[in-house]
Amino acid sequence: MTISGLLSYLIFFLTFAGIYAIMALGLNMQRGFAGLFNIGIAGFWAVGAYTAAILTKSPSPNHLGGFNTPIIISLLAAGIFSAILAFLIGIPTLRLREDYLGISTIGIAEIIRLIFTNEAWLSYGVRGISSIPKPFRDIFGQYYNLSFLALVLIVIAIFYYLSEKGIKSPWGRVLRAIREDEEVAKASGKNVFRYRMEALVFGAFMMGVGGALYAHFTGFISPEAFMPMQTTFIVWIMLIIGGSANNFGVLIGAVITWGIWTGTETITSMLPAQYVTQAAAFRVILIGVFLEIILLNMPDGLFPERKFKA
Amino acid sequence: MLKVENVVKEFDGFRAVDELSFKIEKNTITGLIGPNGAGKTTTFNIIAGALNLDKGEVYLADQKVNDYPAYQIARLGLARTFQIPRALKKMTVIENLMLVPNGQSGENLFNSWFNRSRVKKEEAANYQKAYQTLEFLELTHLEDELAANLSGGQKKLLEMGRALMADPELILLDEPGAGVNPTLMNKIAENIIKLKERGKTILLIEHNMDLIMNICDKVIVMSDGRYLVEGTPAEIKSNPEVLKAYLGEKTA
Repeated sequence: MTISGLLSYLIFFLTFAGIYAIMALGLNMQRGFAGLFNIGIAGFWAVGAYTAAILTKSPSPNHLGGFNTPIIISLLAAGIFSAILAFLIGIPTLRLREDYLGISTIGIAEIIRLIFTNEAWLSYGVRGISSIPKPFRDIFGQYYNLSFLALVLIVIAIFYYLSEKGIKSPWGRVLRAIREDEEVAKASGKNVFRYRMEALVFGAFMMGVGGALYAHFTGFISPEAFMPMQTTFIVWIMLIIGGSANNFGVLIGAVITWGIWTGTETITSMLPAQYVTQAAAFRVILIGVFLEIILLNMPDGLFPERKFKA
Repeated sequence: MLKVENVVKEFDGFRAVDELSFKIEKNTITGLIGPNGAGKTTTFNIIAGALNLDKGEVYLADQKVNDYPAYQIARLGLARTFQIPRALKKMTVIENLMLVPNGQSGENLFNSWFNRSRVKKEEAANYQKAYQTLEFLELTHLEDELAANLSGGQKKLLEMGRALMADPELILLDEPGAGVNPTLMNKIAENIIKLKERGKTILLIEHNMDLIMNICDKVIVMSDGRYLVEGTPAEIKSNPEVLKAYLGEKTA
């Protein structure tokens, strides 16, 4: 492989890792800081991706669309739609014990995937939406991938900043208190429901924007892309490996986990053809083994939660 | 200050609190005693809004607070401690205290992004208050320690500290003296008296009779979820009904 080939692969790799990092930042807001059990990341991801695809595409006879929205608007809209979904899920579930939120989110993520599979007028069903606009392609030409990586990094920087500022403020202190013991938070006069809702919605907004970036980068989305393994569980693994409640750790966790995931793909693709199906399963096993090793040796992840300075 | 009227609470048909009524005057220390299972902590949870009552009324400073959720009752000026200390383990001692005050503008996410100077100023004042509370409890050396690393007694003090940070009118203390050594016990008793001197009203559950006798103005006795009797500590000590409730009816 040539140097430039290696470099372009690195850019490609980092862009994907970055999109996953955005998801992981969103999950960290929900799980790491607020203790919310969201196992339906796929649903927020899909809503963000489809929102962006439908809004930015030129008219197509196959599905809803033709709004030709600029990318900035589509990113915001994707975040907002995902946030609205989180709000609706939160109303009935956030007053209940945390496992109910978990069950609801995984169920709703599946429902969303099935809606996009079956409602052809909206999403062209299993055939998916193709040729989603690639922003700034005309301006940057051959440096398009690099410019997209820059966009992803900018989004990460913004979310990282907002997340850190929020979590280090009294708002974040209340969130962490709720995570530790909601009875104490209530006895201190805190409206637990409100804070949980804010964390859920904020996290879902990030996931929606991440989904939109995914749609623009790949240029093609179909319901197949939003199976739980690729979109939900791998983000959880990133969070656990990097360190729950540590935004920096979560970014590192995203890069490492995505590295293992794609690295094993490269390795297993060298195997003889008859082992291909086994190889796919083997990759999942490898990730599992890696997770076990981290959990046994560093139960709080590579970068555990830091002490907060008063 | 606090009025409880005909309160009933049932758990699957079992009456934990049965037609309970009592009243507490402002700026007094009242002890709530009774044998294990008498319904004292359940009563606390009902007053604080952590449990819903099935029947009856609770008034806080003449305001009916029956259906209020716990966080709203807390904002009306009621603070409570828990029987088993509930420290926020992964947070530092000072954070445990700074959490408490209500109406912090930084509790709004948008203020924490766009109104940072105001939040910072409030945080500085909040820190001062929390530090003074630590001084009052003699815990300043543990300021930056994670609450998980405190001893049982220190956690008890931290519970009390959190109650103080709320600047409450009425404080419910659930067994402040349970499981602490005699020295710490004296310190806790002193602290409770100091609170009264500051004009606070205190209701405490306690099994340590020395503590009750030394600091309480009035004692209310519960038994089997019911109001049994009330009086000064001295009266309660010699009341035959109270002895019966504690020791049982059949005497050998």
